[in-house]
Amino acid sequence: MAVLQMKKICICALKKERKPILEQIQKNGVMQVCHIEDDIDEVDFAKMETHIAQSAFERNASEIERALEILNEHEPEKKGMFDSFKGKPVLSEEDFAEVVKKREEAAKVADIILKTQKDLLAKQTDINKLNGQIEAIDPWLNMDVPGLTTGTLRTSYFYGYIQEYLTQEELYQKIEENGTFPDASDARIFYSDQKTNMTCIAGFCMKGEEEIFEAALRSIGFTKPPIIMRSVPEKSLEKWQARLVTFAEEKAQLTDKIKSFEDKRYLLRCSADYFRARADKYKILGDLYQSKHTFFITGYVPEKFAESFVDELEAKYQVAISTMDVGEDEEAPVLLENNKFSEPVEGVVDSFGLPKKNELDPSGLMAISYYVLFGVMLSDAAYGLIMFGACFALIMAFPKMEKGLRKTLKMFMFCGISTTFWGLMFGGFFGDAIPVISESFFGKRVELPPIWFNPQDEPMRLLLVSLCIGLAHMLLGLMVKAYMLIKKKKYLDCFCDVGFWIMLLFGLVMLLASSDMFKTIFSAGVTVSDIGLKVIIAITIVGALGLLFTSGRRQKNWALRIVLGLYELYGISGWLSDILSYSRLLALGLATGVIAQVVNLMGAMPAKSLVGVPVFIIVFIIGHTLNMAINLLGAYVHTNRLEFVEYFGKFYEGGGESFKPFKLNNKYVEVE
Amino acid sequence: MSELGMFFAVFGMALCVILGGIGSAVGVGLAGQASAGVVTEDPGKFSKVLILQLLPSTQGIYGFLVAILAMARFGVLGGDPVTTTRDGLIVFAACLPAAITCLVSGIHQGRTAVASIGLVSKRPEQFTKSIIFPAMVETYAILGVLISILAVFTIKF
Repeated sequence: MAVLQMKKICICALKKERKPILEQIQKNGVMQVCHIEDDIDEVDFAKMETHIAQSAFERNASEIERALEILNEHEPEKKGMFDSFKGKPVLSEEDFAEVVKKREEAAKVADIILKTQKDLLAKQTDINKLNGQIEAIDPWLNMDVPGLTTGTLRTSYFYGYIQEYLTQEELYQKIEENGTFPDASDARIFYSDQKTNMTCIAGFCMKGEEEIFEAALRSIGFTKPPIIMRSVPEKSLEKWQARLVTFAEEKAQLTDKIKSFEDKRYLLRCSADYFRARADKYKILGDLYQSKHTFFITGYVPEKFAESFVDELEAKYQVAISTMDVGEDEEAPVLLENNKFSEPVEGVVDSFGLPKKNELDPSGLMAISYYVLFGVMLSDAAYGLIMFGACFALIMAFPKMEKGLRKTLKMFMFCGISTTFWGLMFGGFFGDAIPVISESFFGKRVELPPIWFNPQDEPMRLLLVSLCIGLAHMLLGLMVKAYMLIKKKKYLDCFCDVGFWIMLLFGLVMLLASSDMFKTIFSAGVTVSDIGLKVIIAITIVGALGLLFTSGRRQKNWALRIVLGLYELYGISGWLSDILSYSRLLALGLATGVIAQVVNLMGAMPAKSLVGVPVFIIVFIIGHTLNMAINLLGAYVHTNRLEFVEYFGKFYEGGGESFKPFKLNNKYVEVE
Repeated sequence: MSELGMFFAVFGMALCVILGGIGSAVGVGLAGQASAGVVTEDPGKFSKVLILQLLPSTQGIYGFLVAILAMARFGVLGGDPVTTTRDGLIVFAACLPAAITCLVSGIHQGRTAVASIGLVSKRPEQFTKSIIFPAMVETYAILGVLISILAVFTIKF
């Protein structure tokens, strides 16, 4: 439960050893490289130009990655259902080195794949074009004259189409209306289609009269065909179809060529990782200050790794290393470390924002409340067991699983345990499955009595429980704030900002709990003697007055102080709404239980008939799967909300930079 | 039967399911359209946007929940039937908070979910935060449902 202490580190070494040293640092992966000293003498130290090398490696890496994508497109890798849990394959350092010896080959293969893909796309464009032509030639198939015919010795020949559906008579009529044909000429329709509104026409006239003839045709919207046909259309079609077959064959060959690199996938992956790591190294290298014979590199290392890290470097190379504490006003990068129980919720903290300097890592205390809140919202023992079982099995089955995923699964595993616990407390096991099944199918009702109480019989009691959990949760937040203030030795702030609030809240809650109204609503409460009541009222008033006069203590102006104090007191309304916000525990808890019961009820309706058992099983499986899925989502979302808004709101800001060590950022394989 | 008690009671329960259902249907529908758009560009975001799409589906379930609880207490699935018109109107009134808050918050949660889906499409690493925005809207449906549930449980004629 802590933010790891960081050390600043400065390594000075010989230039001739800079590459092995950088590789060592990259392999260790515990140092974030960044500039922590500004007063560098620019004359003695200069940066090296590594852009060209860096971008060459980057290009290699991304080309190979693209080639892998293309390969996967044509020859998808067979994936099992659980493959995403498996994590990356692990290689020893020697094996990896052996594989990437052939990295030049990988780059060539990637190049071939990329080129082939380009050809493939060009071929596809040709095929599309040809298909378009084949479609467009359809109306002209009736024409049995070669497309290039312009006429005979004495006549001229035209063909084309009108975007209109016409019969032969209508055509003549239209021409008569718009102009005249020369004497020895005619235009015949050889194709017309109502759907596409197209009429294809072949016309001929005497040589020398083309102009008048064409003008007459054009006046009714005659246009030349959209495609070029050299021979008789039918022949053209045959030719094109034959070409299409060849194209398809060529395309298949290209695809096969890409597919043939299937066995190179592994080499490609290793090489991509290799090039990526090189590029990262050159990026760092370009940022280093180097003199003629030396260079130095600075950054942050977590304190717990610092010693072994320094020892290793000093043993292997000629280096001078100094480590320093991070200064008061410096922001060091943040790395969290927690025990097995609270580590899983680190992801939740991370997504809200890592702790800033001097802030406490909230994971530890949050973990407990996270599991409890989740459990109360889902509160069904059977669902909890399923969650626990599934997560546990996955974690056990795939030890190499990626870290983030592993954390999430662990978190749900703990949530599952809590859900089971609260399910038993409230008597939910697939809703009321046990009584329903025993009554419908075995004739004798067996109850599963809740260990504590049944929320559906006593919803007010669960509401009270929810609100109490909420109060406890938020007071926990307030305590953390107090702890942080005490740690910073700000005792006055702790007393004014936390102490007075706790007095006020304690007083108000006690007053409420001892009131008659509270007792009638919840049929529970506390009884306080007269003296006790007076003490409580006194505490409340002291708390309120304390807040009123001290929350603006940083202001000199007294009027302003009081105004700020009033504003702080107004915060009571915030506490009220925050506490009421926890009533969602009741709503979500009831929703799981009631819908599960409805599922059981529907399933058991035909219990006495022949199909009773199979119908029940089907309805049971589908219904409970859906109910579990939707309520799991609800519980997850609302637990996050309660943690982020109600709990973090009391003490936590976040906004720290995460620790990003210089390491092997491998995408495909893990090297050990 | 001149008394309309049972009619009003069932009408209230029906409204819970109908309005809650409409709210969720509109909300999930809006979010679904946005999700489909994101998945066209990047199929890998399917699981994330699906979760966001499902957020407004709870209002329908809450309406259903209140209706079932009311049915179990006022003589449809169990309990004693409502006899007088006055009692029926009381049950009707008890159902209203859930029905109306679920309708409105379902639609608005859908809109917020659309915005969050846009957020996730550009910055997938902000997924957890993107869930919180729509979840805020749901609070008010929960409060409405809570009052309806408490009323259904505690009304005495």
